[in-house]
Amino acid sequence: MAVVNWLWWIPALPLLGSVIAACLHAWTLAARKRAPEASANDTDRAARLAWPVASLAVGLAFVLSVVAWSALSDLPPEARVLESSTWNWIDGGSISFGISMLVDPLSSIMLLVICGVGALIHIYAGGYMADDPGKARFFAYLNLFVAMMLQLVLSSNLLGLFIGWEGVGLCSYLLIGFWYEKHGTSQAGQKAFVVNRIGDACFLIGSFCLIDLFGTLDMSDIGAGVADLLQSGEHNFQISLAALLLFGGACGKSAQLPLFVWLPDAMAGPTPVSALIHAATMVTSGVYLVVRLNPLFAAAPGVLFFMGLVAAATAFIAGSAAVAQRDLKGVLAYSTVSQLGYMFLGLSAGAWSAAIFHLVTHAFFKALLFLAAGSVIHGVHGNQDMHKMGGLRKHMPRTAATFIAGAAALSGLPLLAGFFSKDEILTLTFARGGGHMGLWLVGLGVAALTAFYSWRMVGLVFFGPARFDEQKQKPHESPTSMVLPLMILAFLAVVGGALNLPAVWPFEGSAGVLHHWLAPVTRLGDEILFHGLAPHLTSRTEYILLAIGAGLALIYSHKGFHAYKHGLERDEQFQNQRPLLQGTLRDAWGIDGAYTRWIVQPIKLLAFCVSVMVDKLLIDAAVNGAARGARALGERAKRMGDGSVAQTGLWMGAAAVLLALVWMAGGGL
Amino acid sequence: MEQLVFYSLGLGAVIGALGVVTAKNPILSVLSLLWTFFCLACVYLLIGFEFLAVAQILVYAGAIMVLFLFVIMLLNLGTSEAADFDTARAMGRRLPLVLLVGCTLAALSILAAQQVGGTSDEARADLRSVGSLTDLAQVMFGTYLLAFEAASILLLAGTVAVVMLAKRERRKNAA
Amino acid sequence: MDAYIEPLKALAPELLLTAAALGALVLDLLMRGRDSRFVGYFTLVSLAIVAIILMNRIGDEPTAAFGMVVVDNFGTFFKLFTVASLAVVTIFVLSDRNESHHHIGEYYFLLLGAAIGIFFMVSTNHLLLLMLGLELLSLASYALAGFHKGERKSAEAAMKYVVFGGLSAGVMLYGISLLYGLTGTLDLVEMAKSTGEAMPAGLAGQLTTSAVPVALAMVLVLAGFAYKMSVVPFHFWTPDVYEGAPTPVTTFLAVASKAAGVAALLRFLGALFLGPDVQSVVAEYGASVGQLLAILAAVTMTLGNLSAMRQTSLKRLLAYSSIAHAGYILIGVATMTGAGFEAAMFYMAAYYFMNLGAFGFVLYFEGTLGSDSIEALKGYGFKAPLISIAMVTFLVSLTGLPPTIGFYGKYLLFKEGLDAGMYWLVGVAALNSVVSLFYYFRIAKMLFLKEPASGSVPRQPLFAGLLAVLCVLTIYFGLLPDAIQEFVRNCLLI
Repeated sequence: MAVVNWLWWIPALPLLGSVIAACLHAWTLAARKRAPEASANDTDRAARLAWPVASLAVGLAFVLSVVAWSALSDLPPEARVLESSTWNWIDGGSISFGISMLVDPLSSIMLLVICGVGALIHIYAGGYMADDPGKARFFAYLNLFVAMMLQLVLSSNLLGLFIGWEGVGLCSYLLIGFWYEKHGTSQAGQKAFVVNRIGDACFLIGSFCLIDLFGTLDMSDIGAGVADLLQSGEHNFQISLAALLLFGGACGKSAQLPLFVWLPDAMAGPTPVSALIHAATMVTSGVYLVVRLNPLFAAAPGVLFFMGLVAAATAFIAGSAAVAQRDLKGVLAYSTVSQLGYMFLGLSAGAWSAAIFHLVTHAFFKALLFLAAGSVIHGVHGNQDMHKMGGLRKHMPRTAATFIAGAAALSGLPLLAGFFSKDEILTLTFARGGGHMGLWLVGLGVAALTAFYSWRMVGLVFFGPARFDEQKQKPHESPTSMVLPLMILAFLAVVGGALNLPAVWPFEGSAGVLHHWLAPVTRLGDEILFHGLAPHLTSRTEYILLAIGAGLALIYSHKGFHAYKHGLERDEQFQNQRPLLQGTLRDAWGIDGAYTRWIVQPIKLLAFCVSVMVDKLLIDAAVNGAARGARALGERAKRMGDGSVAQTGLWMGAAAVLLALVWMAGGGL
Repeated sequence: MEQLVFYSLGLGAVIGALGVVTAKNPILSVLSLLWTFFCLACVYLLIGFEFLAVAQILVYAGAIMVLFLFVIMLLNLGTSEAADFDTARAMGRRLPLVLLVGCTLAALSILAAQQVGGTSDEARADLRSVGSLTDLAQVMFGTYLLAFEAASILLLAGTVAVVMLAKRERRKNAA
Repeated sequence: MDAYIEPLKALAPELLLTAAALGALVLDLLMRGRDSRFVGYFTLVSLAIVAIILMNRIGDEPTAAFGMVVVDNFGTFFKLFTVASLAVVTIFVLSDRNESHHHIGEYYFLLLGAAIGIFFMVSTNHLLLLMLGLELLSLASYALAGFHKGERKSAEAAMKYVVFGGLSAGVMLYGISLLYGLTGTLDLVEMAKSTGEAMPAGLAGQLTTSAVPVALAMVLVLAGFAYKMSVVPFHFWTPDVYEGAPTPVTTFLAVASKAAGVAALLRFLGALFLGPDVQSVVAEYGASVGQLLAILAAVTMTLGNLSAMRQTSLKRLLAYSSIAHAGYILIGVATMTGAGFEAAMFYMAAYYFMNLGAFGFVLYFEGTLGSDSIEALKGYGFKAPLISIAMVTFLVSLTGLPPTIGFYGKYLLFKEGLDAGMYWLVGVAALNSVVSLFYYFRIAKMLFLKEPASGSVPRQPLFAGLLAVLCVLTIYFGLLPDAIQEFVRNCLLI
């Protein structure tokens, strides 16, 4: 373990960038106010500075992350921790919380992904948002988001993590509703906000359980505490409860059943936001939380299996919904939910490093897909409906090439990043045996679905006849600042699998690099879960599993591509022949609608009833009743006389008597 | 015997109080209040507070009530306006609830009264001895001097409040 | 003669306030027709002097005066609280654009009079003086609520306040008379101490016979406190009065008057059940009173929050929110432990910053737009960004999210609630916090929604500065709560 004092710079840099961008925004607004008639060219000079500043801030944070990573790798594996304790916040006698930061192998990976992918997305966003009048505000939010995300992964205790957790949530709502003039965006932001509250309430109560159990929120202490408690054999129920509640929190942030409904709506935000927040980083923080607290979850195998059920159901429902979407970003959104389901499936089998592996590769190819989709949408002037695209590879060849690379990686074509990471999760789920065998089967099915919808997307967007007016719309390739990040991400999506090659990989020492790197973090969880006997498969079984995965991906990619590369016939067929199924899939099995009907409306009704009861019947009736007979002289006196006040007083008395009786009956005497 | 007198006086006071809030005619209302105060004064007499009883009659019934009557008559609040002072009807409409609340409170009070730990004759005699004027003065200007002064601030604040509320608005005059 | 000098010294703040109140009245007469703001400055200076005297007292040993007043740190804490809120309220009055400055002398007189009432309430163990202080506060508040007597809403608010106030005062007096009848004394410490061998039975003796009379007395007395704190079901006056009264007065009622209720309740319960010489049977009974308070807390916060959700007037919304906060504070009180009382006191301090700020925003907003409807807030954040951001901070704090003082206050309350084993109550409170987010967030959303029609907002630099200071302190003490916690710990009752 090494103590260093520069860790806080990593989140501080983007935070600083955010403040500067906010100032630039204020400056621009002031300039516009001063000269309302001047062209945007003159007034928005300051705003144009926001892009380089913001990108530089994240870039520098990336450099520092690399430094942190190399500092870690110089240490012996068991001592790979950098720590910096800065500030004591709450000192409440028995419990104290500080804002302390910690980099271990897990957070170093997260740092590299957040800053690396984040920097690329910032560069891309410069081109994407070039014409937007609010770009300085956009970069202020985006940088703030990166700062908060870094705080989330750097904090060594749950309280600091929670600050980041809420912070990224806040930025997410702000960015989803970024174009608040546009109808629906602020509703989408609000929905994300409300749904996440449920998860956050679970998170908080779970944290309270942990305080109750261990008297601390420090995550390494919690790990040690779990091991001690297990030896004493007590508190099993409380551990499970805490794990379940924290998983509930993760469900909110990582869009798992039953809380996934906000993520598809969140696509109302600008596309770089979808790429960064709703695909690559924020939504994976639930996965990070579970890996971070792996001893706790390992000590609650029941919760882990439940997590597997939720994850498999989520992956399946979202994957099948992705098949029926027309909106390009909608497909990607449901695909993200489904892939997150994969990660949790891996976690439920105790495959901590496999989940992180998939998190990393997913960050590459899903960010790539979103950005490329953004490039497409940019090129066709804001159209998102795939039925109105087609044949775009001729107009935007570089975007098409990178998009196809991303789709190939997502569908798990052999030797690409997604192939290895998905396969590792499936293999380990298989190896876990027991009930996980069923989950493994679902996972296979979802893999087939994934390959199918990925190539459906490619076929609909880039192949077949153009389904729009080529003369009028004139699709164009995006500027280099947008394509360059695409290429880098495409490269990563192709070779990213090298991070963690399967154990049967023929070359000595090249397999499982990430797995070994994360071993110090996951050791305790593995010990608790497997008691030192990690499930092992013979290499022949592994080969067979790899072959099954590869075969499924190839077959269904082929099916998807061939069905859609000529046009819309298959979709039309589907819709005409099975309208009910198509509708069900499109609405993600009607879960969102069910919430509206069974939860949102009853709550609204309850609030309405209470307000009618308390406000209208009692108070307003008093006011209105009073108003009715009011005349100039006797006005005040009449208010008292016509019974309205008397009535309210009567209610007051009745309620007081009732409460007093309840109390007396319940032990007051 | 003493108990009988006490309860009839108490009943009288309650009926008077009900009359205050339910009477349609303001003059009737004031007279009911007068009756209530009279009953209370008699209760004071019963427990040996002669001075308090006399003061009650003199100050409240004598001075304040007469003032009330003057105000009402000067303002000439006839029965036409007073017709809206219909608390009786308002309460009548919600009679079940009124009865429920009232009866529960009464039942609780009676239950409580039955279970009060016995008060000895000794203590009663002790209490009786403080009814005299000297004792009252000692309590008012000795033990509770501060409370007495606080009460004077209270009355001052009340005076200011009433003057403020009752004074005619100058803005209206100007307009 | 000397026998009176020492006690009078102990009463110096009360005397000074009385002098200041009379001074404001006379000054207004002398200044008639000239700058009415002068009276306000005079009030501010008087408050500053009182505050200095009070600050010097922190840490002194408790003393008694006239056998009724206790000068201790607990009382001084709430007196300082009152003076500090009154100072802010005075600045509000000075910046109130709706105030015609008629009868401004009476305005300040009544405010200061109410403060004197609070001073008596918070520094006595004697139920007689407590009642007198309470009545003084109430009487001044009634008149203040109806200060804009030309306006229907204001007059109506005052009328309702008087009627319900009279009712609850009567109920409380009945309770006090029962207590007196049972114990033969009005001094709370004596009441708790008496062994019950003498006649009348005393609290301990009565409790060994039957708890019914004591329970009845408790319910009745607590009703009075509940009224001042606007605890359900004694909250009916709150929305109407908050809406109808002039906004500075609303601020005073929501902050200082509520704090006085909390302080008196804490002192009442503390002296009766948690003091050093309390009979064990009485102390045991305290736990059962705690249960009643827990029920009240749950009902209050739930009803307050649910009703707040559908309000269209910002002042009404804050009224319901203040009802809900009374519920949160009651968690700390219901624990019936010193630590719980400490949490309640800390929460009052937190409440000071965030509620003064929120009402200050209402005043600012009302003064510039002439309406307090939430709908009218649309796009206000772009017209007045500084104070809107400050408002968002206050809302975050009212919701109880980090990094604000409201979060830390709630954290303490919940922690004490859990320590006392009231899991269900803390659960209800946590759910309520989630519910409250909806309506607080609605305000924040309105503020930063773009509105096509634009108009500029007149500037009030001093006022905006005051809000900015409150906002900064809300966050500062949220991050470094030690200073306040230390202060509160110095001022504990037990």
